[in-house]
Amino acid sequence: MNEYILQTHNISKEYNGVKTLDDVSVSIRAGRLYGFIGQNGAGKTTLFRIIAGLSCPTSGRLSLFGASGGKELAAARRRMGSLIETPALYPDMTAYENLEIHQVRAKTKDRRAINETLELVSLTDTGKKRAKDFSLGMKQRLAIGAALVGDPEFLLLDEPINGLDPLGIAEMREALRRLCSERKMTILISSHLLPELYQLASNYIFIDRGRILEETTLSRLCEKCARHISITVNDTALAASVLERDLGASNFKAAPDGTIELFDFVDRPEAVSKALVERGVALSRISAESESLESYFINLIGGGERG
Amino acid sequence: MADIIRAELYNLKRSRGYKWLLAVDAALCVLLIVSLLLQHRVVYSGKLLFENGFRDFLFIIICAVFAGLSIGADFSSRTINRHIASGYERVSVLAGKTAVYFIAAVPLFSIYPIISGIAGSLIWSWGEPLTASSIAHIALVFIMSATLNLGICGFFVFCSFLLQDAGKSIACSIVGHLVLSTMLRMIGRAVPWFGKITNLLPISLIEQVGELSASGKGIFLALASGAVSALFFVLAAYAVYRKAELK
Repeated sequence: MNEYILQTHNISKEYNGVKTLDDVSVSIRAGRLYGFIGQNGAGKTTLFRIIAGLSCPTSGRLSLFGASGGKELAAARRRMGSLIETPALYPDMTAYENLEIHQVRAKTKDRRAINETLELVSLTDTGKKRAKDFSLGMKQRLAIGAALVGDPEFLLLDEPINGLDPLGIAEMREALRRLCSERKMTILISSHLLPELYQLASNYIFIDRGRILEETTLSRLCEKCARHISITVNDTALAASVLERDLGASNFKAAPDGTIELFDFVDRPEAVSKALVERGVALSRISAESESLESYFINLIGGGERG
Repeated sequence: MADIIRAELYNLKRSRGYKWLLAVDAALCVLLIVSLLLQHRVVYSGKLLFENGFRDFLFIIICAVFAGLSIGADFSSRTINRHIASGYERVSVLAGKTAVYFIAAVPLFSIYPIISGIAGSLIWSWGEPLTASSIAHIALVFIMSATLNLGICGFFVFCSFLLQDAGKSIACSIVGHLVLSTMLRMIGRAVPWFGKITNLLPISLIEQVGELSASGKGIFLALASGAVSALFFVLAAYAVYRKAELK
């Protein structure tokens, strides 16, 4: 079995001479939940649209389930469910009918699957109400439900939690987690709500101005964003020696400017300060710190340097 | 393509817009028949009303509106994208949607000639004895007129795939049809060789279905003109849709 569900190879996209995607190469492994992070206009939706076949790349190619050409690629898309930008719903149809039309197209009939999907997206009680009369959150949930009909192996969700209330977001988070763990579904999800992605994804892809900045895993990201104690001392060498010998700490970074980032003893800063002071190290500052996904992302894209 | 046709028929069955247009169609039909009845001195026949009914401008406009409400609106609501993202090739989506549009357009432009033909027969008589050959003639006129009208409807399909928006498609289809048919006729009258070409177009032939049905050549001409026109516009729609960026 192919380890990768999706691979893009040097995909670029230009609109009127302006590059919105620049040499984008990403690989999506089976059974994982990927968070796709980027600012507005970074190229997230453009890449999603190319994957879904709604837009053609200016150069480069993509391979989905190992298929990369014309008809093969189209056939591979049948194993994929997607929600891109706004919910695409039939306005005159009920929630049930909006899901049933997929089964009609695929010549299958499985009422139980439709009801299960409606339950998953909490839309079981909408009765004969037409989709055009739904609230934005309900439309969004129904669109996610539509993406799930046919039990896809790969789910492509562009800003799926837009318009959902806090309870809806929590339910959706749980539903996506279950889909990934129970059905082994591979999910690629983009969102502006970075704390949400931090709680949800196992892998992350950062994109900015059409370029992929970084592909990383949750554990690596946790390491990078880890809580630490920031200490400013008069003698870095002596402080490092105290941390190593007296406290047995090994996980710290010492900078020549007298700043030390200590990743051990994060819950016991008083023990650290006591040990340092006892050994004659002068502390000018000691504080517990951590970096959020948001600040990590801002640093990654250049943060305050950008106009 | 069969998959798309199935899904589109399911969609059509639930389309409120289509039901409204059928209702408007029926209401216009009643109004036109009443207005005929009010013209006391004129004597019509069911046959004449049936043959002329297919070329009534109002019902072609309803078909233009329906193209916008079915194909154009699918672009606006992005439901057409669902087929593409679900792995259906654009050619299948276009063919499936066009086929269902054509199927649904037939009742829209046929209600008036059928009802006015029946009403005319009841009021003034059919115009000739109803024999097996006259029934075959009715079927022939229906097939010829439907083919020619579908040739005209092909233009509306093209507008919808070109503009990818319900409102713009409706406006362009109606104005485009009016302007083009008027211009072609005017140029055709002024330039004889051009007139020979315009005489072969569905917009011209639809007015002569009665006479054309009398000869094999005329029947062939009507069927070929309608089919070629429909095919031409569908291919043109495919050319613009094949690699279009979908919103």
